[in-house]
Amino acid sequence: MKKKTQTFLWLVFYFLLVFLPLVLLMILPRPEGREFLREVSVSLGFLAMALLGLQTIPTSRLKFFTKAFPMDTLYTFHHGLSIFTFLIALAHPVLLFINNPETLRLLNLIQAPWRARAAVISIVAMILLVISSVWREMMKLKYDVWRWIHDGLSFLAIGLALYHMFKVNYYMSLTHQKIIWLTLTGIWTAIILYIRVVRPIILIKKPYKVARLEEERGQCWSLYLEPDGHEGMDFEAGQFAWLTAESPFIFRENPFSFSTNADHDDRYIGFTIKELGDFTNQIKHLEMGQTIYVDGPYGTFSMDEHECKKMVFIAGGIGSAPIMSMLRTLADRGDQRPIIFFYGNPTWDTVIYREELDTLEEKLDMNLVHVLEKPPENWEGESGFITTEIMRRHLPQDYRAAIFFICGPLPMIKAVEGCFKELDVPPTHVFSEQYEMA
Amino acid sequence: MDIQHIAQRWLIIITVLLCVILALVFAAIQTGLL
Repeated sequence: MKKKTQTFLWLVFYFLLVFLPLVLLMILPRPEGREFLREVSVSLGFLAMALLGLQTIPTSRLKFFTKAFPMDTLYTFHHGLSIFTFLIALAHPVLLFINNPETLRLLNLIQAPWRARAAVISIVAMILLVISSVWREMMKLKYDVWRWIHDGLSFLAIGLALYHMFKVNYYMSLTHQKIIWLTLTGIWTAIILYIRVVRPIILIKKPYKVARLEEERGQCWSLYLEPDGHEGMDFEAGQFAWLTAESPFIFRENPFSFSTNADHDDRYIGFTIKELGDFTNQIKHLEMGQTIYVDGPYGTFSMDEHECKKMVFIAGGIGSAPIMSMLRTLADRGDQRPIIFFYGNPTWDTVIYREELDTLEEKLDMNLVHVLEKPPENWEGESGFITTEIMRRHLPQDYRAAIFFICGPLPMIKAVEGCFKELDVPPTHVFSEQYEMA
Repeated sequence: MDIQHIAQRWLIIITVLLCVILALVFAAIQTGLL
């Protein structure tokens, strides 16, 4: 299926999931209306319910969605929409209280009916969800612990909100509303089952084992895996996968970009990983033959996903891993499209793939521009950070026709995007991938 | 910002606007204002 068709279908599916229940309520026969504020409150409640259930989708990693949108975009979308969902879910009771202050007595959980108790607990679960997600790092919650809390609170919020809606039974007394909400619940449940049960089983059936581990510059390790008893996977250069050395049911996994040639036919896959945290610090201790589960490939950050006559790669540190995969693949194909690679690193000694990049520069039509934060003495290249001036010095006159790929930490991506504004690079020619997602 | 991130931001803005508009329209229909 073409990417444009897929994106269009995704959008249709999205708008149907969010707005269909309310639109049907508007156009089909329904019970009599009540006060204005009460009706606004009810419709916001319906929309909050639809959006709450929909939150299971963006981070589900279903290929139908991940092929249409970059994964980090789906996560950002999930974060933004979740906050809005929480706000309109909160507006639902607040408007009811304003409309009729007597309804405040429903907050008394001892005397209130179960439908109100369910609604209050659902809202409390949502508040805890927002707090634990927005301030996760400040609360020093480990990712896997947070994820269990996140999933538990989400099930509680969705389940109780549904119970509340069915028990209030005003507009829900309509048969078409019952059918549509049960269908939506079925879709959300299927997605949750896929994430929590089906996908881990698929991963367990297709394990990989550690074939090689090589130390790279800048506290990085290249990890090479071979499929254990299966054909392996096809990926596009620039894509990434989630790796775990534990059971896929534990969900202690981390995303890493493939750094190897995508066209290689030996079925090995490779990742270059920088020591930055709990899991990445353990990479060097992996044993040969140890089982690793690989969930992937994902992402649209690839030269094969877009029409590129010329390419400009911009990477900071380990952000060069997906770029390296693209360069290795292009070299293997004998591709001679012009490339400029701006590569920022703290020092000359921390430049990952330094020697191989020199070889690739000869094989490809590539201009490699090293930018060092702390250059060595007598350094004649670029220094500092990647700036508009540095780019102007090296980009060809017709640079606006090129496709720009940026990969690195968020501050670097923001800074480079600022440069693009000054350089008047069309946003349609820019593709970025940031490290942080969840 | 690249086009995919711009599109994502616009999708959220459109969702917010549609939610507010539909909620008001629904209430207006139910109370006979529309």
